[in-house]
Amino acid sequence: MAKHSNLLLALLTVVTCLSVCTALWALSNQEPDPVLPPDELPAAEENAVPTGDDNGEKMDQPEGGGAVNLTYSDQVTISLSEGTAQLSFSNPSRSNQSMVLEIVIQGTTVVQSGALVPGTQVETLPLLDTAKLSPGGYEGKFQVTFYDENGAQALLNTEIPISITVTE
Amino acid sequence: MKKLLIVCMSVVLMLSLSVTVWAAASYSYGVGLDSKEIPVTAKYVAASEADVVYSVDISWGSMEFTYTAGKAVWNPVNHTYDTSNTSTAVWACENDANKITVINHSNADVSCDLTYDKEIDSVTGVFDSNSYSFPSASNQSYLGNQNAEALKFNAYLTLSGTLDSTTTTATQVGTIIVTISSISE
Repeated sequence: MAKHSNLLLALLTVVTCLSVCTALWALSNQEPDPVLPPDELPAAEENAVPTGDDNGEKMDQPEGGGAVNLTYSDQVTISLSEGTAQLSFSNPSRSNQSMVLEIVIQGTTVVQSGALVPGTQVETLPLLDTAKLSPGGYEGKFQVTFYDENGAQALLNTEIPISITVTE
Repeated sequence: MKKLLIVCMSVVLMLSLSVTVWAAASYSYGVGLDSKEIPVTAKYVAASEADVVYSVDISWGSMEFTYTAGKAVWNPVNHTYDTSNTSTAVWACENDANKITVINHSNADVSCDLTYDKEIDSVTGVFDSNSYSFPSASNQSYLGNQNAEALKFNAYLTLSGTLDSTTTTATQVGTIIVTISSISE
């Protein structure tokens, strides 16, 4: 009887250890929560600089709608050692909406800007802490979300395929 | 002794002056015992192609639609209203509220694709034209012309399906995605 109990106890111990190990493994391999564009316009992007093109003119905007211009390069370089992305993206002054820019690689957002109001541009953005990349070439995309003058997200957004070079 | 010194000094003075004159003569006209010619060359190199700058205008209407359910039909036989008839349900919007315009200002060919991403299963959306290929604005035909029709694309969104009667305030039913891609040569 005692021998039977000992056997059961040993079996229970093994099963418990396996369960704990499995749980720890599952926790350590969890996919990070997906990064979504904010519902409302966030704070201004710290790395944004003026475009210097403000002549007071605005694009014709349909009533209740929106009008923007996007000026950009489709080549992006990411430095893992510096934790930054080098790019060229501009929201000219004549746009009527603010923007939030994301860089997405294989379905994962690796960069998300703050607000790019009309008349601002960025050449450097920090990588998100959750970005896990290796050096090499990637095909990704800019994902651009627009916000009206009240900070409400527009029901139209833009995607732009880009080429990304990741370096050490 | 003094005279000898004076003679010696005069000879040295003459010799040093001669050397100075000789040095000046040999370098000022490039002719002399140790002249040097330094050639100057130049060659023409064509300027490299300008960097590609992508620049696209996108404008859109309010995208506010109303769904008017089909009118109930009176059945005089059994004295009831038949509310199941939705064949006359209508989707409508203000003039150009459903319009999207894309204009290419890039010095490269680009393409535009429109997608409607529905957020309510019962409502779908389609465009009368959902893709367009733009020529480069640097094309000879459009150089300097910011209003060239070939650089502009208009599309109109139409909704279909049904909307629940409880949706009595403006509610987002979908999202439009405009994809701008470069066209490789």
